[in-house]
Amino acid sequence: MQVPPIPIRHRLFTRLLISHIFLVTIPLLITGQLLIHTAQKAIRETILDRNLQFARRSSSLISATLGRARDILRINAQSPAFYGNDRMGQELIINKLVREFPIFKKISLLDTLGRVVRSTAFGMPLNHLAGQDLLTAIRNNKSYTSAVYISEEKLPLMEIAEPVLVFDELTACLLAEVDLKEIWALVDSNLVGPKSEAFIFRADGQYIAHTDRRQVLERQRFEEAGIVAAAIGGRSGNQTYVDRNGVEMLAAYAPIAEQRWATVIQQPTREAFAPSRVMELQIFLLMAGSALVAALIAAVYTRQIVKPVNELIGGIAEISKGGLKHQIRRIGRDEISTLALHFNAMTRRLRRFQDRLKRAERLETLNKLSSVLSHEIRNPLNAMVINMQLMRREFQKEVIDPQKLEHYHQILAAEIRRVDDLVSNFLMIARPPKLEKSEQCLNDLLDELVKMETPEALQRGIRVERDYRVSNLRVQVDPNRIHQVFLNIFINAVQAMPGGGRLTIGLDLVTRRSLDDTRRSYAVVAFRDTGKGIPKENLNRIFDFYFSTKKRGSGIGLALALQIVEEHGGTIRVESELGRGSTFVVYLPA
Amino acid sequence: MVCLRQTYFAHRLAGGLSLLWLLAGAGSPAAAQQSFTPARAVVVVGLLTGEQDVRRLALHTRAGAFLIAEASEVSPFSVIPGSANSLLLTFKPSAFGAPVSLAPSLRPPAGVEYRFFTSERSLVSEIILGNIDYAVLTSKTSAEEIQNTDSNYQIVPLPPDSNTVDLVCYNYAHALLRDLAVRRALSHAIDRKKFLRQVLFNEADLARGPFEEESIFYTSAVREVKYDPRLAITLLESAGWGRINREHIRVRNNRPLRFRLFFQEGVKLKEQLARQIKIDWNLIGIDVIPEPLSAAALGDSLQSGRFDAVLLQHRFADSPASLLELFGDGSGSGMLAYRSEPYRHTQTILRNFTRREDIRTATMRLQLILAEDQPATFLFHPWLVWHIINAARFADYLDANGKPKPFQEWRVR
Repeated sequence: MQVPPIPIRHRLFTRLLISHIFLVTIPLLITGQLLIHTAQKAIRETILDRNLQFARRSSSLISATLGRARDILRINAQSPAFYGNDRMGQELIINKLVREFPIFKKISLLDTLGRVVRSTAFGMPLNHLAGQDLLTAIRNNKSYTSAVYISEEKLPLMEIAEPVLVFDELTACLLAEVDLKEIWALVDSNLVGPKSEAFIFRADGQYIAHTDRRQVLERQRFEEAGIVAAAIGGRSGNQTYVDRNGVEMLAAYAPIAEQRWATVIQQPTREAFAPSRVMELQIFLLMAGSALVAALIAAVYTRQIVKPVNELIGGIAEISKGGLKHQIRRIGRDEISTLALHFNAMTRRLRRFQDRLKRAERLETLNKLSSVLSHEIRNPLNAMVINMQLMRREFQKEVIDPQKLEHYHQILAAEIRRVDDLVSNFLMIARPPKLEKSEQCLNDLLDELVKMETPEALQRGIRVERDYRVSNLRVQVDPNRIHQVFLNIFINAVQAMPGGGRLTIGLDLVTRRSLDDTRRSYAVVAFRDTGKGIPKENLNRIFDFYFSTKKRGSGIGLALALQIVEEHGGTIRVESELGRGSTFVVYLPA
Repeated sequence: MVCLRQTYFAHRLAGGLSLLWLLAGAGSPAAAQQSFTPARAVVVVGLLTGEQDVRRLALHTRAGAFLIAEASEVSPFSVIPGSANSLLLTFKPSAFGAPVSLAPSLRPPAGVEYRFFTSERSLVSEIILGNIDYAVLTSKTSAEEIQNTDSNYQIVPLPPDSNTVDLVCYNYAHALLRDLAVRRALSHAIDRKKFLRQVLFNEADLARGPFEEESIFYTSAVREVKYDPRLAITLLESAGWGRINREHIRVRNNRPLRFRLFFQEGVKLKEQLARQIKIDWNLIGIDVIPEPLSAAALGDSLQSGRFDAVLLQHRFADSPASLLELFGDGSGSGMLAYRSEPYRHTQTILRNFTRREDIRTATMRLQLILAEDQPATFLFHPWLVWHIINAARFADYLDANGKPKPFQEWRVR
């Protein structure tokens, strides 16, 4: 029986492998997702906290820097040099301050009317008046801090002033122009990534410091109103927003409360959370790697499971082709291996049954042969006894008729030949001679047959035709015995056309599936007659020994032909139609 | 206060640059008819009024330098009227050959636009904004700020011309500064090493005289003027400046020891140096009034002798004749009105020398006399200046030695 191949998706190996992979991968995916989620959350919180700490630290540093500048000014305002009219002493102090502390762009000494009397700005005219706000603060003995303004040089500046008090009486005022450019370096130190930005803005959003200097020089403003309001309102925190370039930014902000400024440390969220994505990728790769390893292990394991099953299937397939001697190899100690053991035991028993069956068949054949032989031999023996008695009577006569004696002698000789043929055929069936194969040209064998038998066929009104589709078709056969096969079928065909007809002998080379389910080439010799045909009920019996519908047929010719062909690894097929003729097709391995 | 300052700067700028309008008119009539359009195909050069006298502004070419103030029909450029603080030159293509270029597919600039700034900070701000293509800065911190801010700029540190020196010159015509003891006291009172360490980051050599060590005229016989404020005070006291008034200023015959110190306006290093000098001199009771001037005004003051002391940067050519330019011949006829018989005598005999060794010996002798007379306090030989070039706009701007090429040989990207 031909078994169709199993599609890959239906194979046990595929199904087991998929189930194993799913069994491993699904928990892995769930675990990985949980891990990614947890780690992402932790990393995001860490980054948000870090940026916020940076912003707060930056605000504190800037606040401290400005506070220190104010302290320096306040301490120096207490110098006795400012009590009197020590011009050079006063100039020395303010110039030293400007030299030592670059944050002071310029320091001026103002009198109580707010006129500049000393200044570190070389070449600047003196005696110009300070603003009213400054005067009001100073006259109340208070420190003064101006709003931030942008200088002609496009730098952010602010003014701070400290009163010079002698016995709590205002005698002068130290006014310093603070160069806020000096805090730019503090802002620069707060970068948290290659694309990050740090900046300080005042209450209206205008930048005072920015890592991108152009933003300050071009007097740009930070336009994220929510952050400006929150930070200037004294709150710190994190917020994401989309900037004017469409980039989502993560901004950490912290107020510089005394100045009503705020610090922002911001970077694209893509950059900020890059570690999270890297970790996500790493976990994904780990999961993929684990899944791959699991798949490999599952493949090996599944193979281990499926291998005995395949062995079993292979063994069963072998046995189904008749190879009862085949033993399934035992792999492992599992149930399938045990099944293989049982299967081997079963085939051994089957083999014993088969042997017994064969013996029984042989006995049956022998019985049949014995009865046929006894019948077939008894008839000639009877004829011989009768003719021997007739010869004896003739010899007892005084006048012997030689013609009669000759007649009896011929009958005796014919019957002896008949017995001899019977014995020869019997021996041929019972003990067939060993094949002596050699490479033969079937075209030649058939031509020889046609040459020898055609004259007799013609006498019976039968035309013999040859229909060779191939030339010089060479096969490994025993030429004598194959000749006998062809001769038997030829004679059978001739006898099937008593009133004459046409016998066509065809020769071809075909490829067909063999008994072991493999495809191979066969030489095909077809004998097509136009005889009376074979009744359907006889078709299955015509190759049985001693089955014959002819009066003088021995029932051996076709049986012997099939036996010889099968010994060559071939077979004979018959097709017949009553009244139209029969076709005997001999297949011989080519 | 802000308004006052802005008005003041505007006034100075307008006064200092009014000449630019005249210069613009000096160009060819055809060029003058063109409208002023700051085309981006020109090289925009940032200059400080404190460093560059517009009358001495020259366009450097392979054929030599062309003074823009002397522009004419035959000049290789045309001057186009610009704003009050800028000057635009357009190159005449036929005037320049086809120089070998590393980027032949790029076109050369159509001209050069000079923009003048009264402070280095303003110039740096404009550079950061990308509005300047080329500038030379003397402050390393400014150069570093630009480099850290804008990667489009290539910063090329190059040594200045040899024998460039920062010095304080004294006017012999000034009644107080004519006194050798005062000049020596002034020199000993300047803490040059402190400035070198704190402001110049040790990137300069202390100067002993006009010539650097690499010069054949350098002599180690000139002793370093050491910072010694006590010696300075002793020198002043020995010269009759022992009394100190209520303002802690030294006085002699009721006349305070006070004078003005001119320096280049808007140049950060010079302002810092002027402040350092003021502090140092104030500490020994000398009242100095630093006054920033544009390069033009500074030049005029020097030429006319209307100055007390001046802090300037001067380049001495590698020849004894370069001493004549600043110090004169010792007869009092030079810019500093320097008068010294030994110096004059040495200069006289120097003219007759032809042998190189004799000239060298005489020049060394002149340096020794200068060190003795102190008509100037030599401060530093700067190591480097920083050329800032907008590499995003221009290509092929450096020659094989890594120095900037003439502008007309640059290529516009």
